[in-house]
Amino acid sequence: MSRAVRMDWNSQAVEHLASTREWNYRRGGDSYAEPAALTALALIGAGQAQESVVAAEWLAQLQSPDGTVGVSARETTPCWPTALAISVWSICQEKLQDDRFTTNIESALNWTFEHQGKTAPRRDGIGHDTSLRGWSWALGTHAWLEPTSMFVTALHHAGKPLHPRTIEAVRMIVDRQLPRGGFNYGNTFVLGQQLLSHVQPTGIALSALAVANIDASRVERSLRYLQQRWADVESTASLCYASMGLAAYGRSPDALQEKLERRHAAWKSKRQGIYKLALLTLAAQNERCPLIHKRMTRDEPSNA
Amino acid sequence: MSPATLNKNNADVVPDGTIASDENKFDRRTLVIAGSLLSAGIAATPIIKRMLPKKQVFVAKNQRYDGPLVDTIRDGLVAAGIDPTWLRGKRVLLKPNMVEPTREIPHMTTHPNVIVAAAEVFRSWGASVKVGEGPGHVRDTEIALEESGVAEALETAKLPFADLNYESVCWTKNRGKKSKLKGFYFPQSVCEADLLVSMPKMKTHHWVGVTASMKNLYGIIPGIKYGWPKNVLHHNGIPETVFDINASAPRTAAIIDGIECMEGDGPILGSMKHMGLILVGQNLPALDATTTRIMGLRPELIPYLNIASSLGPIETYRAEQTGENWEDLVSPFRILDRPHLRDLRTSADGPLVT
Repeated sequence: MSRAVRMDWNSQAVEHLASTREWNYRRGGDSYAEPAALTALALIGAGQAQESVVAAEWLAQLQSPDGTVGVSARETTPCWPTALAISVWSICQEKLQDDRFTTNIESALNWTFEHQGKTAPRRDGIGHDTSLRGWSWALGTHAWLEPTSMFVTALHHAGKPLHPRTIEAVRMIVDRQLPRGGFNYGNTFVLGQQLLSHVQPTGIALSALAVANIDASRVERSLRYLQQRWADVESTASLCYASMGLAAYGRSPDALQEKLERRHAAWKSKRQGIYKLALLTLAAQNERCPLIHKRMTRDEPSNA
Repeated sequence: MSPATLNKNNADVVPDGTIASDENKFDRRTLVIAGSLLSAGIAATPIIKRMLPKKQVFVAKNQRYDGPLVDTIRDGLVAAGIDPTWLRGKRVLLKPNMVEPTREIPHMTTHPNVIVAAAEVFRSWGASVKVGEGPGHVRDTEIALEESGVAEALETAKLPFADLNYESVCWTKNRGKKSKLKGFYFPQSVCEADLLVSMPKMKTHHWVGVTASMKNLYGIIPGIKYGWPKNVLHHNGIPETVFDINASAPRTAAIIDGIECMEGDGPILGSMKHMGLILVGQNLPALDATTTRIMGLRPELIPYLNIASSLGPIETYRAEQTGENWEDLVSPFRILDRPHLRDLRTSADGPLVT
């Protein structure tokens, strides 16, 4: 397929994202924070930061007095989308070169640093280090891989790479890597058996670790897992996160980009929601994707 | 003894929590007398056993995924007391198990042919049927559908799918009250269902021993509110929250895929065990108790069955067995050689695996 054709589907997607005000998981469904955040990031990555402001401001409206952003306007809990909102506000105002979301960011960061997933002493039968602090899906529960990855990414975008919580959370993600490669929701061994890897969490974890400057040598098994698996994946979200995870380490193959176009065709024919369209657009941006954007600050040490 | 109250479907809720159907009505005076005698500690006498209401459990053997599953399931539902005429115009939600599918482990999840066969039966009775699941370990439901083979089956059968992890939610009070949770957020498709059909795979479970129709209902809890995994439930006690979800859900029935099952390190990494069974019932504790016995395990020691008495009986004398006799079908499942699991075996030399 020619680059021109590839550009065309991408341009259509960006146009659609810029015009929609329904940030849903499925067509016709309610708007949710995650699709809105991914839409904003996709527009920023497409060079349309001004168009991202609508979704970014909607997230700001969702923000509660305690700094959190819930999953939707109706559901103020759980609060894991706070991480995505921090990323959106930070990158948006960096691109627009103003401070319109600074208060929102600070409020969200205050909450972020005050809260953590439930920890426990290490015990037999569970493979990962349950004492490391990350972030949970729901308050009062254990820290898991995807929300922790989202918060690590957000904290880097917000200029907090050296905060002790950020550093510990990076350790937590690395700890959850499976010996055979890949990640899942956040368990490694249970009762002596190594659990299964899954594509989406692997992509999300690798994206976060790349943003955190974790060297490829420490995640080589997981990169190989994605490189071996992506061709068999027939699901849009998993394919997009695989693409971003590989792109974060400069490993995304051209053929994967071509597969994204076929998933876009499936998105159109199945009349799916904005969530998947935003993911497709982000994945097509390859190394320019804002979710894997490394904020360059002077003298920022590596976490490798 | 609490009086019977109406649930939202205007069916009688009997004090033990099951829904009375025409085939399952009981004599209230009988129950009051029996209850009093139970309280007096003379529950085991033959006369009491005869007085207590029984719950139908249907078991079919020699089943195959390419066999006449529609006929089997139809027969099973009727034998279990389902009134087909009641189903006309009703909304049925089929809830299979797709917790963490992978093509490498097909015996982890409910076989698509069983789902489609069940849908065909309910459709033939005039119900509108939807399939719904909220996988607990994978946030990408589409990949769960693809890896399990369910996506293709749904498309061929033109069956709609409800992603229970990402729907709008409604709040339902906790009617079980075994855990501290005040209530549950259920997805819209669950709230709107007239009949929720749990369709689990017959498997061992490395924490609670067995996972069948009651534990399968963890999948109606939406990840958008509870996360992946749904840790809120684990933190409030697995047996207690299994009980509470079952007590708070709409009217239920169950069809268990017991053809190719999972033993050993279930519910994800166990090995395949062929049983060739389909099990059907309207009372999920009774059905799960029979299932557990067939697996060579003791239902009274399965934590969530042990506390399930107000939802349904687990004793053999309280199950009205239709189809095959469960005792002829017992084939002990291998379980992990762990202290909390070893004693679940009905026989001390039941198979263990490390």
